[in-house]
Amino acid sequence: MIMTPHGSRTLNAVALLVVCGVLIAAFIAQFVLGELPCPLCNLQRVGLAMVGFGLCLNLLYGSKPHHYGIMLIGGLFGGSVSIRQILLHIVPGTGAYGSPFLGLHYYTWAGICFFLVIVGTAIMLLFEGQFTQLRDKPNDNKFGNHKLAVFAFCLMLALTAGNAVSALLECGPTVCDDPPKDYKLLRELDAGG
Amino acid sequence: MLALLFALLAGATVLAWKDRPYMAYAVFATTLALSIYWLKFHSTTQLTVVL
Repeated sequence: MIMTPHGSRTLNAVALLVVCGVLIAAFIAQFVLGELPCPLCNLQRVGLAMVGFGLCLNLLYGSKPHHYGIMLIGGLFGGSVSIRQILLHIVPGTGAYGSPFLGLHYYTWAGICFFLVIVGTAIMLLFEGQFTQLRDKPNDNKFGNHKLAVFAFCLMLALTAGNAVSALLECGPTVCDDPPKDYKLLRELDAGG
Repeated sequence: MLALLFALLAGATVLAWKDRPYMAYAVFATTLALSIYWLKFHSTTQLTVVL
């Protein structure tokens, strides 16, 4: 099966929207359900943002093996963090962080997501046609006139910036509380004012 | 300082958008190094608490 650059961009845009959906779900848990992310939870979000960065490069410049390499690095980093957190709570009686969703905690879901990212990236790397046979024309614009790609790129950029603001409010300019009790920066500003 | 990691990744994305891919890769590599440092930091802190 031959995968065209346009088809590859569409798949990458859909994958980026899925990553954005996971980050939006994390924001809903944080702001609607009031579940503050722990430092390891925030690092899992960093892993997702790294995966998103690789996908953004594919949307901007067309699919290239080193963009998928960046996604694999992000997936391995995020997967390592989630496995670390799963192992922290795997012994019975050691408790858990946050409330479960469909029977699994968020860090377990994150581990599954990162595993799927790695598998999906490996499958995409099998289709060489997207790299060699039908390259984008040199005068194509950055997103290859792909509106879904532009939307997914902008959403990912906004979510990454939003996470920067959220982490700053929660941790302040220093080390994050573990576990977090409230928005540390806001508390310190209140105490100072 | 986890906010810095997100800020750096957002910066890398903007750099890629502005046609500066090699600078974007450098910023990404810096972010990865800092992320591994913070993973080590928070993992060992948690381990101390559990032990």
